[in-house]
Amino acid sequence: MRTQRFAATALGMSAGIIVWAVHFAAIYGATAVACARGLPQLVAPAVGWSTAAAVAALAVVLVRGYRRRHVFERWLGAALAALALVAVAWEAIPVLVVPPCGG
Amino acid sequence: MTTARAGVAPLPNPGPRPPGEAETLARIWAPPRGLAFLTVVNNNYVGVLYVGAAFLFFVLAGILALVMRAQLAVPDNTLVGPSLYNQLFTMHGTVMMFLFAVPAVEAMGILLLPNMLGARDLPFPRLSAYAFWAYFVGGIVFFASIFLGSAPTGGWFMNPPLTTATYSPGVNEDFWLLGIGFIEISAIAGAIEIVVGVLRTRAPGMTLGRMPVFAWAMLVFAAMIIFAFPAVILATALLELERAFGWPFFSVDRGGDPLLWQHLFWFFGHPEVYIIFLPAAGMVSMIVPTMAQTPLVAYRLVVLALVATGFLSFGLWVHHMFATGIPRLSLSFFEAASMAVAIPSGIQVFAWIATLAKGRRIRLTTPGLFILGFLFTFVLGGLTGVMVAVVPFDWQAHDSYFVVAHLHYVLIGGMVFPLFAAFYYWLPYTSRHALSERLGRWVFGLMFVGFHVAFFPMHFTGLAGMPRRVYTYPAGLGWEGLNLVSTAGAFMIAAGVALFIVDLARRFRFAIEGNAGNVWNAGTLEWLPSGTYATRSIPSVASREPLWDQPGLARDVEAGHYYLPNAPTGGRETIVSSPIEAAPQWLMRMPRPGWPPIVAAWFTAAFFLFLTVKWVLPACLCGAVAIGAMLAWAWRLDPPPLAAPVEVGGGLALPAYMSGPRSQSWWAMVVLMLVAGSVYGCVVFSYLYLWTVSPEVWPAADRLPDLVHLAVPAALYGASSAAIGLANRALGRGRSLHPGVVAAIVLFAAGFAADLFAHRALSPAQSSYGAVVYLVLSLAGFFGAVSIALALFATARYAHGLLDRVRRVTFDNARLFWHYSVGQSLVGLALVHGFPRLAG
Repeated sequence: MRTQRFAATALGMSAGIIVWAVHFAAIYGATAVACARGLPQLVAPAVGWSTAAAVAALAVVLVRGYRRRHVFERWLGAALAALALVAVAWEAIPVLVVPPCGG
Repeated sequence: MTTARAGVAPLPNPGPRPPGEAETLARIWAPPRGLAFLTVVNNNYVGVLYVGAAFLFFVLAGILALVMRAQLAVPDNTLVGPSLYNQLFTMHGTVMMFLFAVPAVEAMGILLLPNMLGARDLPFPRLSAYAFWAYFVGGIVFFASIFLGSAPTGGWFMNPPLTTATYSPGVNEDFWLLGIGFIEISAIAGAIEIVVGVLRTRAPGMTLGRMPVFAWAMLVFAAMIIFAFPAVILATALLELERAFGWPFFSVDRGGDPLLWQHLFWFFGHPEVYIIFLPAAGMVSMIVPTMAQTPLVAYRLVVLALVATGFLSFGLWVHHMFATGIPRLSLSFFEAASMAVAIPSGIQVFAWIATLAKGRRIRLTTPGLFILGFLFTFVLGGLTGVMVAVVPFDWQAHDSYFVVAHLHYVLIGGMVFPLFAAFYYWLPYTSRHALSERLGRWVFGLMFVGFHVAFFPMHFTGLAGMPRRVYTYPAGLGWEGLNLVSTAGAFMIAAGVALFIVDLARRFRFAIEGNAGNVWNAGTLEWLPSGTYATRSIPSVASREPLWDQPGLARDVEAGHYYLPNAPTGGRETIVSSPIEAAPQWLMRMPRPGWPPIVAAWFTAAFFLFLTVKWVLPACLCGAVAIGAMLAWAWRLDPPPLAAPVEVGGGLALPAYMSGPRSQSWWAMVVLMLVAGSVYGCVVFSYLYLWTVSPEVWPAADRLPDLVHLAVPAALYGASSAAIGLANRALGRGRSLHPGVVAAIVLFAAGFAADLFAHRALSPAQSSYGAVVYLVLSLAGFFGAVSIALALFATARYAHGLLDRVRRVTFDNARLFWHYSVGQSLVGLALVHGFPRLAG
C-alpha cells in the first residue's frame, strides 16, 4: 500500500521534469529525423506544437502542485515544474532564430 | 531542555536496560577474525576499505598525470614516446573517472549513509562487499595493464573508428571495453543499495523533507547511475560485438555510424560529470552548516537544485559533439539546455554563500578551507563551462588545452576539493584522532595554489592553439613557458597529496567505538556515539539537525532509550520504514558475513579480465565459479518467517518477515528492472538512430518476414507470462509450483525459437540493420535465459521446502523479472516487425 503511494508520489513529484524530458526528446528527435529526410519545413511546426503542449502540461502540474505547496513533496513537484517551464521555453527559442537543418 | 523536546514523542524505552545487552549487540555485529576478515560485510569496514581503494586509484592516476606533465615540461621531450603517452592519457582519464571518482563518492555513501539515516547497516550488506571486491580486484589488474604496454589508447571516451579492429588491433582497447564491465556492475550494485537504503531504512520521523542533503544527493546520484550507466554498458557491448564478431554498428560502409557511439557514450558521459559532482555538492551542504553552526539556508531549494540537475544533465550530451556536423538548430537546443543547467548549480552556490553569511562565527578549519577553495574553483570552471556551451566559442576551443583546463576546474574544483573537505570533516567519525590542522593548512595551500598554477595557464595554452593529447610539441609556438608552469603546479598538487598521506599515516587509526566523535559540533545523526552496530538504539527525529534540536539525544540513544536497543531476533537487524514519512513498517533480519559474495566478486572480475585477453576457457571457468558462488549466496537469503511480531520499544511491535511490495528485495528488483529498461531504451534508440542515418540498408515492407512471425512468438511469450501467473496462483493456494513454471519455460523457449527462425535469412554482419535486429534477438534470449534461471532457482528452493506461500521472496523476484522480460521481448517484436512497416 505504501509502495503504491510512493510510486504515485514520486511520479507526481517528477511530473514537471518528465514533461521537460519528453519535450526535449521530441524537439531533438523531430529535428534530427526531419533534417535527415530532407523535410526542413516540418521542423518549426513540430517544435512549436511540442512546446505548446509541454507548456500546457506544465501549467497544469504547476497549478496543482502550488495549491498544496505546504506538503514538501508537492512543493518540490511544483518547483520542478516551474524550472522545467523555464527550460522548455528557453530551449525552444532557437527555432525562432536559427534556420533548420543548416550545417 | 523541555521546550526543545516539545513536539518530540516520549522516549520509547525510558527505563534502564538489562545488563549485557550492549555486549550482545557488539558480539552479533563483530567483524570476523583472521583470514575470514576478508568476508567482512559491515558498512563501517567496507566503507573505509572502499574509500581507501578509491583514494589509491586517485594516487595511481595522479602519478600517470605527473609522468605526462614531466613529458610536456619542455618542447621536443623524449621522456615517453607516443604509444606510452596514448596509454597514459587514456588510463589517467579512465582511472580517474571510473576507478576513482564514481567509486569514491559511492564509497562515502556506503560509509556514511546508514549512520546518517539511523540504520544499523545498508539493506544489502553483502552486495556492498561484492561491489567493493569486484571493483578492487578488477581495478588493480586493469591498472596493471599499463605495465605490460597493453593499456587502452583511445582516450577515455574511446571514439570509433579509431577504436575499431581496423585501426586498433590488439587487446588494448578490449581491456577498456571489457575491463570496465565489472566497474559498471559494481556501480549498479551500489546504486541499488543506495536507493533502497535511503528510501527504506531511515530513522522513524525522518521524512523526505527532513532527510540530510547528502542523502538526497546520493539518492539522485543512484537514480542517475540507473539511467546513465546503461548507455555506456550498451555502447561497450556494441563496440565489442563489432570488434569481436564484425557486427557493423559503427562501420559506415555497412550502414553503421561512429556518431552512434558518441551519442551513447555522452548520454552516459555528461550525466557522469554530475554523478560525480552532486554527491560532492551534498557533502558541501553538510559541511557548510557545521562550519557556520547554523542550518543550511534554503534547504528546499537545494533539494530542488539536486533533483533538477539530475534530470537536466541528461539533456546536455550533444554539447560534447558540437564539432561533429550535427544540424545547427539541434546544437542550439543543447546549447540552451547547457545554460539552463547553470540555474540549479547557481542556486546551490548562493545557498552555501548565504549560509556562511548567516553563521555567527565561521570556524575556518581545514574542511572549511577546502570548501572555500571549491567554491572559488568550481565557479570559475562553471563559467568556462558556459563559455564552451556557446557553439561558436566551442568550435575555437574544441580539443584544445582550454577544454583540459575547463574539465579539471569542474572536476578537481567540484569534486576533489569537496572530497578532501569530506576526508578532513568525516575522518573523526571513523578514526581515533582527527587529522592535523597545522598540516591540513599546508595540504590545502599546496593543493589549491598548485592547482591554479597548473591549470589556469592551460586556458591560455589552449587559446594559443595547443591541442590536447599530443605527446610533445615543437619550440617557438609560445607554449613552452605555459607548459613549464603547468608542470610545476602539477608537482605542487602532488606534494600536497603526499603531505596528506603522511598525515594520514600519522593520525588515522581506524576506530568505531573509540572514534574522535563530534569534534565539529555537527547536527546530523552520523555523529551520534556508535559501534559496529551503528547507534545503540535508533532515534526518532523531528528535524533536519536532530543533534542541535534534541538536547540529550546522544545520551538517550547511547542509554538505549530509543528504538531497537537490543537484538530481539538474536541476529543482525534494522528497522525498515515507509519511503516518504519514514514510519516504521517491519524489522529486517540482515545477513552475516560469508565467503560466497567475496568469491563471486573475485571471479566476476577474473571473468571479465580473462575475456579481455581472449582466454575463453579460463573466462568461462571463472564465470561458472562466480555464478556458483552467487547461487550459494542467494540460497541462504530469505530467512524462515517468524510468526510473532517483535517488540522494538514504545509499544511498537513490528513483523520480522516481509515479502511482496514492502520487502527490500522487491524494491531492489524494481530498481534492477529500471536499469534493464534503460538498457533497452538505448537499444531502441540505437535502432531508430541507425534507421535515421542509413535507411538504405533497411528492407522494404514487402521484404520483411511475414506477420505470422510476429504473431507466433508474441503469443508464446505472452502465454509464458500467463503460465507464471498460474504458478503464482498455485503457490498462493498451496498447490505445486512445478506445472506453471515448466509450462512457462517451454513456452518462452518456443517463442524465442520462433523469434530466431523468422530472421534465418538475415546475417548480423551484413549490415547495421542485421546487426541491430540480432541485438534485439540476443537481448530477448539473454533476458529469457536469466528469467529461466531465476525460475528454476525458485523451483529448486520450493522442492527443498525453502519456499512456500509465505516464504516466497525468491519466487516473487523470478516472477517480476519474467514479466519484465516478456514485456521487453514484446516491445522488441513490435520494433523489428512493426516499425519498418509503419515507416515505409
